[in-house]
Amino acid sequence: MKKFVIAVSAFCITVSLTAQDLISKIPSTASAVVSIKGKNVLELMSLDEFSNSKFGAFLEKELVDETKGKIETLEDFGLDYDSSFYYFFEMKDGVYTNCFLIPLNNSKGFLSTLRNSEIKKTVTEGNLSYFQNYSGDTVTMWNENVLMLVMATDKKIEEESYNYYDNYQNETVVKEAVEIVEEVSESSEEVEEVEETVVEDYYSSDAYKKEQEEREKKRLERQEKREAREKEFSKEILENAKKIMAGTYATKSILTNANYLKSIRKGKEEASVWVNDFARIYEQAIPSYMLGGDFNPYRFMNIDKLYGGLSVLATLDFNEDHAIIKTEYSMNDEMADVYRPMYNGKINKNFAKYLNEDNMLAYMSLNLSTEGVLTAYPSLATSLFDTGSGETIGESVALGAKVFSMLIDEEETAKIFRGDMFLALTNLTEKQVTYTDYEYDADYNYKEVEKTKTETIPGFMFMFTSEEQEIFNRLVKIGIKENQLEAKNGVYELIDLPSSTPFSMYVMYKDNTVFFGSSLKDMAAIKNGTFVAKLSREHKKNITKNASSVYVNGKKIISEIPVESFPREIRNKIDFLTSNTEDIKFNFQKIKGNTMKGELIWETPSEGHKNSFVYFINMIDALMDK
Amino acid sequence: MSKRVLVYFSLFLCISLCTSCFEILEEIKLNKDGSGTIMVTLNMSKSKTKLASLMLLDSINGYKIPSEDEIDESFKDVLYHLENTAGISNIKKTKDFDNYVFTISCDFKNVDNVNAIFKDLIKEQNKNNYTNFTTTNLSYNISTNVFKRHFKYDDTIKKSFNSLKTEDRKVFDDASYTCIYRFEDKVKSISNADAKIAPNKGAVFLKVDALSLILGDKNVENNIELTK
Repeated sequence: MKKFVIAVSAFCITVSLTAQDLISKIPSTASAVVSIKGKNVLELMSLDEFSNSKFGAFLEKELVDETKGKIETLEDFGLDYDSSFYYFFEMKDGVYTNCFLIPLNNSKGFLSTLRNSEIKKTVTEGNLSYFQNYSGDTVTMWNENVLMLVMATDKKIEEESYNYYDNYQNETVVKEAVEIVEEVSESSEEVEEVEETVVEDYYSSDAYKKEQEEREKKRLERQEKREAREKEFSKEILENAKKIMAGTYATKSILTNANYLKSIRKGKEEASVWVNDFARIYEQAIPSYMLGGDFNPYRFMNIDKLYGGLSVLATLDFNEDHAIIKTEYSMNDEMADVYRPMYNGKINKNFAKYLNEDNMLAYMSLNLSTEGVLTAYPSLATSLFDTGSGETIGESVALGAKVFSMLIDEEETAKIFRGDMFLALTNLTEKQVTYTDYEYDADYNYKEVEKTKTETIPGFMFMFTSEEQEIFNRLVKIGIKENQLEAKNGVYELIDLPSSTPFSMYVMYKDNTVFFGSSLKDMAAIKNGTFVAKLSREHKKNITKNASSVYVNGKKIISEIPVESFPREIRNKIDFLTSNTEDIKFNFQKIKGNTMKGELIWETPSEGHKNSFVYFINMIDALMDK
Repeated sequence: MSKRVLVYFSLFLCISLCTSCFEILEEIKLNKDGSGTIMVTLNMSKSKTKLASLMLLDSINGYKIPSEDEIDESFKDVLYHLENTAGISNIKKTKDFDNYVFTISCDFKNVDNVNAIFKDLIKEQNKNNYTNFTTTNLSYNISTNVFKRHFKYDDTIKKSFNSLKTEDRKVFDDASYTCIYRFEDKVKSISNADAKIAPNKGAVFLKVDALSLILGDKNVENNIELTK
């Protein structure tokens, strides 16, 4: 049934894609795919509108300069902006391939950007043209519909260079070690004289010359081998590039990859990034010399358990009044079982009683479960390191995890620190600070004078849930006795902070909550029950439903930060930024099934901006203004 | 742990919000025989909120923040270097970590002794960074009674400045360099258009903002001719 669904999806997607869609050129074995959907972007802003923007005009001017006037507009460049642009990354047999696929309306524009040397080495085979760079590891290939750039590296060639360096180092180290032993055996008074003679004699000796000859011979052999491999590799890359261009693979295209197909949505996003199977990427990325050595991580760790089945999908979508980046981490069943209880905390609903969004610039909530974390980590460590290979490190970690689990009472620890916490950045306050300046008389004799100026200091409030008031009370008693704390009607000031710390800090306990904050006024109001709380339903929902939630009130922050704190270049644009900046939110959901989802929402004002994409272009235009 | 995280969080905010600037004050009193006293003051008190926050961190923007002890050690190195420079005596220092004002003063037999203090340092800088800074910062010709403050602008200053991040460049926004030179004889003329002669003709004052100095728009070079 599952296969049938995938087959039907693949069919529908293929039919919905235009005949020229370059996705069919991406192999099913690709580890990562990035796509930009030109059509969706053009729906947000036409090419003409973009060209008329300051940023667009700047790009076109750069194009004119770069091509010495051969290309005057983005249209002249010949790209098919209405189609999708792709990048993919593939790792196969130690070869890393990076490939960019760019749709073209015609190749005329691109050809006019080529240098004479590139035109000279261009090979044309039928309707296909290409050239390779000097080292042969980059192929630029095109026809009338596609421009393709393939860049590849061979891990074996790189490791060979590494080995050469390593061998050379070893030889040198051994030689030096022998010299040191010889030197040490000499009496100390003779050392200086003898050392110089020995060194001089050694460098003019036959033994040294022979050694150099052998080293040179080995170097030439290696170079020959390396050059032969590079030549061979250059041919392989060219063949691979032709294969990509033709889109003919024995393993078929990415449209037959079940994981990729699952990640494709309704296609409304403007850009997406998909990374598949981290276990395979890790396995391919690890140098082969490590696999045979003591540092082979596979000997003492179950890497596949950690990374197996882990894939990431991120999409970028520009809507009318917000841009949104959605991320999705999918993991294997075992890891999901380990992580799920960690992120399954319960947020203290009382937090909302101590917050007033009118005075809040930003917040971050974290909803972990200490009990879940303490239970999960030992089993995660055991599961990762208990490979059954008998390696000491693996056995030790598994033993340590077991002992840790026996010693720690997860439930009791969670009473001290339940795992849910909240940090609020409250209004910025102005503080008068003194500084030393100089006053000069007519003869430029000077004296030091103390002047005052205003600094802006942030306020904050941090809360976490703890059922253990007794521990808090005992700590306070010790703090007071040791002159670390000073009682102020049930609120305690930390008095041992460095004298130059620019803010005061207070601590208190109320209703199963420990508070740290910089405002005595707010803390006292919370203690007395007179704090005026205000928090919208949306904020409450984001805080309680998500594992973590971040909110930034962009407009308020920009309007409250003193103009002098901004870089000089944008100080005259603060009014524009204030009226054009909205909220930024980031929510990280609890694990559902095997998936962790997150979304970053950048709200944009609709007034003056057709949509959020146009908003960003308008912002760039505004910042480009002098 | 929580306290530390919180302190760090708030400190980062303070660092971003608080202004940063500093002033360097170079004061030289020159006697008729070419001997004299030099005092250099680094006044960072206008940035003390920011500095106090920085000092609580290990590093920021990839730069290591020295502790008070490390600054003390550097101070000791400077004093040791001065003590071992010929013609330098009566070395005094003040350190004020509450206001971030640091001063070093000493007497010299002639201005070449002052040049010698920085000579090796400048030579090393020129060698390592292919710069062309002069190793003679001060000169005094007793016969012509002309005191010179030398300064040769090098383009690498601007390049280094431009390579800084925008945020780091802000440090120089309100920074300044002040030179005060006092003489027993009267000042007849000065060459630096930005400098001023005191009404009693006994001193020359020059204050240059750091950005102008860095970008090469202004400099501290000055030929001061004294009456014979």
